[in-house]
Amino acid sequence: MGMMDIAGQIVSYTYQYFDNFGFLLLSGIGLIVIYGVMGVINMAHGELMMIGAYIAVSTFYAGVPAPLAVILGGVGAGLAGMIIERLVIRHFYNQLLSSLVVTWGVSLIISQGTLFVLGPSIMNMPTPLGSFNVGPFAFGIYRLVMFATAIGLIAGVWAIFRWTKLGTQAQATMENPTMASALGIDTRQVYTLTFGLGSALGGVAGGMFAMTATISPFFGQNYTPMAFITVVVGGGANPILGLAYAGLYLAGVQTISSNLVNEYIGYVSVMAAAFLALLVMPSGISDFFAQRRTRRMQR
Amino acid sequence: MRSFVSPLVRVVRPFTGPQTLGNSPLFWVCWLATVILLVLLPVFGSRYQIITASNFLISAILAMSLCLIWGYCGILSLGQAAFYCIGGYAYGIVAMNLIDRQGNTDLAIAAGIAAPAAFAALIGALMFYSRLKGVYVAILMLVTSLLLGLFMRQTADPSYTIGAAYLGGMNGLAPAKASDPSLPSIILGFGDMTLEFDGRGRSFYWLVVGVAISIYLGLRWIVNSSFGYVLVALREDPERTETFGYDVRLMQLAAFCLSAAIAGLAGTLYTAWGTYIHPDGFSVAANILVVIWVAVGGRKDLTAVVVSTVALNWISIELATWGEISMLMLGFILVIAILIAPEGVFTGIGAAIGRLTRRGQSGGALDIKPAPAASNMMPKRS
Amino acid sequence: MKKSSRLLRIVAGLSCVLALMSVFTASSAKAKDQIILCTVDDLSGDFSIMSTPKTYGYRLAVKEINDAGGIQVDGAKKLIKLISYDGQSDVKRYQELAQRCIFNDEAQVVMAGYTGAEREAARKEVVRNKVIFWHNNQGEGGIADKYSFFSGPTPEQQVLPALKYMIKEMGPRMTFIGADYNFCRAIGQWVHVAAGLYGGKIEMEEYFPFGVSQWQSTIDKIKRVKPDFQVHCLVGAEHAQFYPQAQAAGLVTPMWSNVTISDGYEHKRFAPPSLANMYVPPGYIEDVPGETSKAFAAKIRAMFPDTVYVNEHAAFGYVAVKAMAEAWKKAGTTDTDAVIKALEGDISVPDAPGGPWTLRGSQHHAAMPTYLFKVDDKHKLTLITELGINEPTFLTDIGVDMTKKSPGRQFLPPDNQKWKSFFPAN
Repeated sequence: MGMMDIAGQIVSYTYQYFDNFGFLLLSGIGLIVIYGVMGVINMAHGELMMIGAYIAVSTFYAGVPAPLAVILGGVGAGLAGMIIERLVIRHFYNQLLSSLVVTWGVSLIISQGTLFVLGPSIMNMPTPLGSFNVGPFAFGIYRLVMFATAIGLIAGVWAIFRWTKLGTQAQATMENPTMASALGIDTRQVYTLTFGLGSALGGVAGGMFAMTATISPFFGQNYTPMAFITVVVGGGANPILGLAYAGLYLAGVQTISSNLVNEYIGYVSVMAAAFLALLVMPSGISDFFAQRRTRRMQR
Repeated sequence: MRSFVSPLVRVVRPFTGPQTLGNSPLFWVCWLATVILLVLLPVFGSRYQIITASNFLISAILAMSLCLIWGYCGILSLGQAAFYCIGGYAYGIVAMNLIDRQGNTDLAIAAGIAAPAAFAALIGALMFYSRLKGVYVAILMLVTSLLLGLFMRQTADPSYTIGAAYLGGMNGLAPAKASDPSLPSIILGFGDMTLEFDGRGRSFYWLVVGVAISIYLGLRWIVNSSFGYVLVALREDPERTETFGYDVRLMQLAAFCLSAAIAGLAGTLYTAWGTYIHPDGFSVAANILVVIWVAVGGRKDLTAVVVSTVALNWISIELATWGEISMLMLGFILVIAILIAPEGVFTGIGAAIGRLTRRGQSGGALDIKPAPAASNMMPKRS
Repeated sequence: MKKSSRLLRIVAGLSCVLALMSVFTASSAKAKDQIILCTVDDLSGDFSIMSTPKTYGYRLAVKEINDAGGIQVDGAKKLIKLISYDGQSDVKRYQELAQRCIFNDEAQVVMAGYTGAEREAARKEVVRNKVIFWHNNQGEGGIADKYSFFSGPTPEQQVLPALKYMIKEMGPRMTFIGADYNFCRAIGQWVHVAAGLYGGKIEMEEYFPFGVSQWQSTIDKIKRVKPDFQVHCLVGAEHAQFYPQAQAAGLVTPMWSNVTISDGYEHKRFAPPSLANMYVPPGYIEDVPGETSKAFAAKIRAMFPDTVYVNEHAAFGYVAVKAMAEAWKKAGTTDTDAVIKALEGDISVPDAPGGPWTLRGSQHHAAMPTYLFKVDDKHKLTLITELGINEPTFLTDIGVDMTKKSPGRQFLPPDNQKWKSFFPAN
């Protein structure tokens, strides 16, 4: 009995860690792709997640199975993202601060517009898959599925960057936009597609969260601040690594302090940890490591 | 005309320069007319208009503080609302504790200005001496503001009292016991004499107008002075400024503390105006709102910022009477404004007026070229 | 200087002046032949889900009163003019709009706020200017102020009778989790009172800031404690994620919550069965049985076909307007002091949607019936028991009588000396 208790406790801590980690990864993946490639902070990211959630839920209740509904949510959000990019964002590449302001306006329009047209809330999707037991502890399986999806999405983004033409072009454009376009890359198309990709990732995340949260036009705003902080702590030099490092670090701090003290301190320590990370690594974690690597290579 | 112009020119010379729009005699005449209108508002305006005007001008002071640190020094702080609130709480707590003994709120006002400045010195030292730049300063300030808000929101327990002031959590600052005084309005004391300024009255309004004008002129003087030139140099190219021998970090810290003090003063006035302060001012939305006021107006110019703050505040409140579509309209206005005029709507208008009037002018004493449209200097990648 | 340029400068100068003047001299027409009722509620933003039905309640009540010809005051039959402002879920707006109500619209009464913060921002401004203020949803109670009145149920009408029942039926051991702010802290104190009065035992008590959305460690803690039932005061979308997570983790202990469902009709917005086994004690929801209840819900839906659910706000917004109408009629005038005197002489609204409602003048709070509902697996609500009509006696027990003297502050359970032993000594 004692062994099961200890095993259960360990599983519980591990579970919580992956739960928190997955949450940060899912919220942040779309945002960091956009930030890394385009130098734009998309404050409307939460609204794109909301669009994904709404589409996922509507198609689900129209009979589509949940995984497909989530993918459709992603596609819909991606399309919406590309429209926003064409209309608004394209005037603000690499202008961090102006893009912050204009995307805040876009987020107001989308969320309030949805409230106006669709009303204050819709039914969310039921959480699938039940739970499993370890000793006296029970754990929902779905949250692990969310974590696995986050990893899958990151792997997918990595694959896109590594092996597709879009990925190579995006990396080139990240490094040096002028040079890239001099070499014949249509940087505007790269940006549009990247924004679409980031939005689609947000939409998928929204669809995934739709199975555990109440959905309203302001649903995305719960995720934006933490996503924002994770992305900035991660740094834009290497979006994937940055997100991973930031997630590992912040989720770790949260899990440890929530269990050592209480949830309030857990929440506060995430903020404090972000604060400290930024002081020590002023351009984000991935930038810090990238600079160290270049410095080491120069030796 | 010339005999009128030259004494006017001599008076306003310290307040003019390439860092601010509006350097011609026409501008100053218009400005004077506006000031006269503002001062005369209580004569022809209703009580509601006076109260609201006080509110808007207080917001304009807050916007000017962000304009200083962002527009002129190039550091976006997503935490001006935090300084505003710290100032407000400091004023409230000190005032509620000392009003019975002192009979005036002089010390409270001083606290409202000093507390945010001290806090800014602390955070600023941490940030600038770690060479933090760009969006990272913004995020750090935002995180700081959120942390403060998180703390203040959970002070609902009656044990969170500082003397006669109960922090009150989300319900805002309140007296600790029924026998304690409520948040007083501004009461200035000079020796034995006291002057009370009730937030709902004309005298308070005139006080705010006076403070706003002083801050405006003071900032105009600073940014057009040699210190101002250094700040702009910091904004444009910090590395090069450092090679000229200036201590970049100290200058940034100084500007940061000054802007925090101004924001704190605005917060103090706000708390005295409504006799109420609550932790919502520490939220993301409150901080972004100040950025929006400044960005839409044109962050590089003080006048533009004041005009846009008043305009946006007025539009927001009018929209609130339209019901559900109020925030939707606000979003549209914001997006359209930034798309049309990324450098700021009112700086654009100001520059246009400048060009228009210059065409007719054969050459005035203040014929200085309009402020160079400095490019959007963002932290470079690599 | 050329003539045209001088002219241009004069024109430019004048247009500055005119623009400014037009901004400042805009004013709205005031109608002296109407009674002005001014409300500020969240019609946009996060809280619009809960608050919009309150506006429906106001509008229905005003329509009914005006259709019946209005109210006889100051020598004439006057209609009520309802001015509704959108608070935009922003506390600062509440103060500004309250000022607009008072100084611009010259309202006779202001009703505002959903959350305590919004309520206080508006209330302090209204009361400072000596105008009558109403707050119309459940609150932490205990506010004893001359100008403030409350139509919604108080904790002593929800927490006390409901927990008495739960302790009797399920057992004394309970856990408490709540949002970390004034309202839930106050509810926590009332839960201590209930435990003390009825022999309950609080095994765990924790408060969480609003952003917390990961509940695994809390769920584990509750399961370890194995309580007879859980008490919740979870507010906001992130907190609401507790429910599906608890379901998935197999936490099936009965839960009791003040705020859930009565405010935000989560049973319509969360897919079943995440809220199964939850008990709620509303003063009114659509599911309350009885002719008056059904008729009220029908009237609201007829006037506002988009209504998802007729919640507590709709009912008490309606009741507050009806109560004011009674008070104006009784006083025969809209003069504030006379109306307060009329209100303090006890006002009844016998056909209130939730059952007979009476304002107790000495308390500024009302006596009304409350009900205990249970949510089942399919998210249908069943009435478990009627908690009866409970008198608001909290303030009287402390020795407050608003008709004689109003202390102008808020009282909380620890202020009642007899209950001092129920709270852990800090």
